[in-house]
Amino acid sequence: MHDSDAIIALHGLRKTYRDFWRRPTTQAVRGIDLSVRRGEVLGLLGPNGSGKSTTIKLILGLLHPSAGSIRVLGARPRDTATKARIGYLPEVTCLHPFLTPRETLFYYAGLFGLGRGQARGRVDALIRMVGLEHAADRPVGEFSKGMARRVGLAQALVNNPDLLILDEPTSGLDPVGCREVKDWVRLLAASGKTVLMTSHLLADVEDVCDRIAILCEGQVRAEGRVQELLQRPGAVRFTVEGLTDAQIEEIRAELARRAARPVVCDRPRINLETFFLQVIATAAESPALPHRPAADFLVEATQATGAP
Amino acid sequence: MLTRLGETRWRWRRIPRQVAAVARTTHIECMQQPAVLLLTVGGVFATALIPLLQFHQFGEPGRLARDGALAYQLTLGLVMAVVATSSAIHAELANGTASAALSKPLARGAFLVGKFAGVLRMLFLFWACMLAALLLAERVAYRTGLVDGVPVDTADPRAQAWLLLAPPLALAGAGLLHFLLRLRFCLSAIRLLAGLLAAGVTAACLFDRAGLWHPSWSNLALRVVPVSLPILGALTVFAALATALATRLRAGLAMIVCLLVLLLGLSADTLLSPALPPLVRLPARLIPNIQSFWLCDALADGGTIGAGYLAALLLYASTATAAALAAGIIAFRNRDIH
Ligand SMILES: Nc1ncnc2c1ncn2[C@@H]1O[C@H](COP(=O)(O)OP(=O)(O)OP(=O)(O)O)[C@@H](O)[C@H]1O
Ligand SMILES: [Mg+2]
Repeated sequence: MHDSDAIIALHGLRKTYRDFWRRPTTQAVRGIDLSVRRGEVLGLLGPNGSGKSTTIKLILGLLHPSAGSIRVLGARPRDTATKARIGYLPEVTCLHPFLTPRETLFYYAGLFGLGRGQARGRVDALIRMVGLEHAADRPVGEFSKGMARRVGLAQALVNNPDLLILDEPTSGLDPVGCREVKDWVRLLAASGKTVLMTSHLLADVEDVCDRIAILCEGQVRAEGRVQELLQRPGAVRFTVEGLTDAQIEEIRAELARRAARPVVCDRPRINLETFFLQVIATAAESPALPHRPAADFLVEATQATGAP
Repeated sequence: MLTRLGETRWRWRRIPRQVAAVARTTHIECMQQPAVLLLTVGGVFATALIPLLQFHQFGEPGRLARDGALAYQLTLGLVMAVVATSSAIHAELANGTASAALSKPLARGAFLVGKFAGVLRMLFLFWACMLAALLLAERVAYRTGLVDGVPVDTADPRAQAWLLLAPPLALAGAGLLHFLLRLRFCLSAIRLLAGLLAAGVTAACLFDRAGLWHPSWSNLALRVVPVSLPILGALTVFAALATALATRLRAGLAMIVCLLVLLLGLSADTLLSPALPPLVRLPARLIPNIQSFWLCDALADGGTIGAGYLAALLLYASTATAAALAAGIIAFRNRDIH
């Protein structure tokens, strides 16, 4: 890939944290070369302490690299004009506790130089989007973790950014919130925005990311397109409904004979997320319904999704 | 080239809005700190008590109220300036709100100036409350006891009552506003207190001590205002110093350094004595000289402060503030924001 396509380009990036006396304490990033292309969703994965958040803060110009170069949207990370095109959700949602979500969003809009009049429409839309209309005038200090996370997400989108950097966006969110975030990310990517995100929820990353890079001890250990990295070359899977046990056995035997290899035959399940979302959707439709056994939902969910 | 010019112009137009946004948020955050409410309400109440507890005239009626209130204004104000500023900045850096703000197109200098402006707005409100309380206390205490050996009417009970009632009324009003409209308690309490005291000062200008309609500036000892203004200057300088220190030091450490500077500033006159070697005198010149901001004694026996001295002091305070902020901005430029 040519570097001119890159929205973010990191070369030989290093970061060593130092203490008050300037003595080195941790080598958080140890020579990262990485590019994020226009319109793609890149997932940055890695164990705790592997340097994901540090890399993000370096990209945002909040930390100074010990070595290496960073270009973001073709400019240096500290360039303020470039930052007008970036949205950032920090790892920990830190908000001013005495402000309401509406005031918080006006505050961040003010940091983009937007006046109240200019920002009002966007602030209202974002509050609706993150589902906080009912709490828009309560101080965020009273919010649950997930509600605060939603305010954090809204502030990251207040400038309609071209590049969105999300540090563990789904942490603290309920499954509905996680699904919504993933849908937003996909929608943003579809509209040409570039997204860099980290997450420990590998299923989330698999759902939304085009490419992933896995960091370990401050270095990129694996990088590539999700499809390519996760594919089992040569393996094929059929999904069929309505076969009897005898038919299954017959087909399995035939496949084994043709492939001259063992054939794995399993009964697919829907994932827990799909099941949970179905329960919540049903509860929203008929809030007064008494408790139903999980099996009922399972049937509905299977029918609704035609699950593999 | 043209787009670059347009970009530069846009950037400059954006900065005042950004500074205003940071200042507004900082102001709300600071005002919501219980310590700020405590110091403001406590300071006003303590000032209100001085005329009641006055047993001495110190050679001049009203002097104790005046000196006492000015001393409260300076000491409590300094505590507030240093504590509120260093915690406002350190809290943002420690809890991560600074990293969210600085990931926006906000220059670090603008962030720091905004924080300083937010704290200054709070300090101004404190200073104004204390000044109003001082003017009322001076009037209450004026000519109490004996004048030239002749007993005269003791006090102005209406002004005294207003002064004593303003703090509890402000707290009760803020409680009510919080209950009815969910308005922020501490913020409303301080604003209400300022409003009540302003109303008291206005009434004092319109009525004489006997409660009769007599609009006159002489109803209040306005000559204390030029003595109180330098105190605002000192608070500004120390808030700027605390801003600069908090960019690199933890809140507690920044406060200790401010305290040291304050102590050195109080002994500036000694340190500047020509008897001392130039090596001592030179650093002493760089320390904000608190003595020059404390002009209380100049009011004794009907004295006033000259406009020339005030102008010089304004220049001194502005220079010291600008220098401290510039040092803060330089120190903050390359600091890692975690
Ligand atoms: N402010 C700091 N001072 C010193 N060391 C730090 C600081 N912040 C992070 N580190 C160190 O840098 C390394 C990388 O931390 P970082 O926060 O980037 O990890 P991460 O991959 O985001 O981890 P997690 O998944 O837990 O969020 C860790 O060893 C951590 O201890
Ligand atoms: Mg992290």
